[in-house]
Amino acid sequence: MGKRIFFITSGRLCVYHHDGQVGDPIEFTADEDGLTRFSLYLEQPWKDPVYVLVDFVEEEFREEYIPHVFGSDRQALIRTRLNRLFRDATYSTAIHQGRASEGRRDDRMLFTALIRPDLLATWMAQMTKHKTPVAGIYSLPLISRDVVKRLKLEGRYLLLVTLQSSGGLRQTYFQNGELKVSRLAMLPDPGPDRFTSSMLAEVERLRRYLNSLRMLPSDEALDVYVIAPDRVRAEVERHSPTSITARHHVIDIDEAARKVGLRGTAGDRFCDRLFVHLLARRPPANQYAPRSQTRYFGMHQLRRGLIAASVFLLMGGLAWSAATFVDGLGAIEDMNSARKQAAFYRSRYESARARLPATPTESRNMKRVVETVDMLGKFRTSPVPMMQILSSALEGFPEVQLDEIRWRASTDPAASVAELAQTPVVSRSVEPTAPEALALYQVATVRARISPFSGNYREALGTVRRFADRLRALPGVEAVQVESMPLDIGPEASLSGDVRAAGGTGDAVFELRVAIRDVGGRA
Amino acid sequence: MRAGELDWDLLRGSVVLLVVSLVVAGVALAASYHFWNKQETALERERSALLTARSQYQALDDEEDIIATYLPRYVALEAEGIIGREQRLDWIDVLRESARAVQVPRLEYVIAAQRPFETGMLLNVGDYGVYASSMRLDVGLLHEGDLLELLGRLRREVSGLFGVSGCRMMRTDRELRLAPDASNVEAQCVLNFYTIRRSDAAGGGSAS
Repeated sequence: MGKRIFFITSGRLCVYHHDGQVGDPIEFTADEDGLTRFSLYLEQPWKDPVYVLVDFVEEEFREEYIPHVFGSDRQALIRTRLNRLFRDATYSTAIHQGRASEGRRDDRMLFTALIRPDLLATWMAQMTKHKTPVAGIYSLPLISRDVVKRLKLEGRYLLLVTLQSSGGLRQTYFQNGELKVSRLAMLPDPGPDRFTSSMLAEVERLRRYLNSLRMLPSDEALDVYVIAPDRVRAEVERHSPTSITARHHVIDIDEAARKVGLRGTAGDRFCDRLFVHLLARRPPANQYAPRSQTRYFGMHQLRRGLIAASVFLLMGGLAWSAATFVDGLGAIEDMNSARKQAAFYRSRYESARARLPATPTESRNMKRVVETVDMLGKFRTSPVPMMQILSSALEGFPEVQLDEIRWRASTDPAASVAELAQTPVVSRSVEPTAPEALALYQVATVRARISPFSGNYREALGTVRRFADRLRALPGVEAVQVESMPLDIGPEASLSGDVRAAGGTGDAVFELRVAIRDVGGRA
Repeated sequence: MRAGELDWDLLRGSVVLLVVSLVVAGVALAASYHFWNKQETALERERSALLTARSQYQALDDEEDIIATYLPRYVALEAEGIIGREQRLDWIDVLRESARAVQVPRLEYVIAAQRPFETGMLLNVGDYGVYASSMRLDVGLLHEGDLLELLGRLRREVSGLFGVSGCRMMRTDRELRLAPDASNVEAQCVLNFYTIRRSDAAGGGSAS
């Protein structure tokens, strides 16, 4: 993106368009005609930001120390000092140049200002009126620091001398690489014939001035760098050979242009393009414009940011969408492939399946059903095993007569046998389990009596106990409990009788509960 | 830059561009995502179908073995009335024949409605379910052995798979009567006839 440099000198404004190289200027004079033309120029739909470069005699420099503070305090302190130092501090700035080596180590600042704001006012008013995005107002001395650095000029006390198209000789003094003071002297005859002598006279005048201000020790030599056409070198050497007080160095203007990266020629004698190029390439941090005059530049930046964000969003969104869409198309392709493969397998399966015998249901169902029937063998329960166990137990107990048997099959060995049909075989409390882990039991309550009964309860109780023990000893029997005895001799029960009664008149009834493990599938 | 310093005339175009970009990008993203998601879902479905078809094809050898092993048994179980519809008429006929053969003085029966049977076992019967019908027998016996004889005959001759879930036998008199039609023992038994058939509905007749 290009930049525009408005180079303002006394009574003139030159517009330079910079897009890597500096074009020919469009010149406007500070009269009615010039301002009208300038206004028309500003109405053009150029959106490039504007960097104002000024070269005025009326630019002052003051070196001061301020306490080393930060943030808003520092800003306020600088603003106060600027207002105190300059009559009108509209266009002013402060450059930090290090700290004092002693005392409280205050900050050393160079305060500088354009002390005739009216010279800028008409131009700035036009720019504000046309909402021109002014990035800042810079002066040649502020840019000169970059010239010294880019041209690698050396010297503790250094003076940079350039001739500007306004006819002025710009002399900028640096001490230890720091800008100290700058002066624009209007040469009475800036023509090439008289240039060298006029320039050397002005330099000598400034050197004495610096000596008088003690900015330049009288016993130190001043390194004077003149950026001028190469032909000036011989003239300088002839007029003012190197002395104790000054060492003159002439830098060919074209060589200087090449060193700062300016393509093409820098011009005949004037260094305007050199400064314009340096400002366009790298605007210094310090500039003179107040915030109110850079307002449209802020909006210009914001606008550019919004456009960039829009483009990024749009391109990013469309790119992402395109990628997603392509993924979707890939999925369709994969889907068609999968469909074809599935059809292929189905076709192969069907043709192979046709060779197999017809089945009443799917083979997996058939297998499961048959296996389930096998599992249901567990529920082919029958009272035969219990009857066989009771028969075996009764052998050897002829006096025991069975009156009633209540029998049932259940997953619960403690299941009640009171009701036959109401209770399911599988206990409600049983969690679904593996077929091999499900256990079935047969439970029976046997009501019996001892007959004939002699009336000897002791003997009857003994018979019942032996009968129960006999049952317990049989294989497959899980548990035998005597539910009731012929005579309850427990301390909780009441007991009565007639000791004179003859034997054999009563019944010795008892009840047993027997549980056996069912192996299932019996006939 | 503070909001009050903004010049909306200068910014309007870029703000509109940003909004339009947002909308266009958002619509494009939503539309492409919808398209992609739809195709991905369809692709997953097709992949699943492919997996099933491939597995089915690869399992063909197993299926052949299964058919060879289980089809005869399945057909036999169907013929026995264990798979498919209950053979209640056959049960009654066999019951009547058995009572006559064992010469029980009295035999009454009640068959309840068929219900899903909770086996208490973790079984996978696929689309099928296990059902049970309970038959209550009320029978007069000359002696206890006749009951076992009766149940044995039923077991051998009846179509279907059944288990006796409970019985009660009670002597009617302390004195044994020897007449052929005398009931010395009264017995009540509950028999469960198990059948496997296709479930009435999804999850009906759970075997678990």
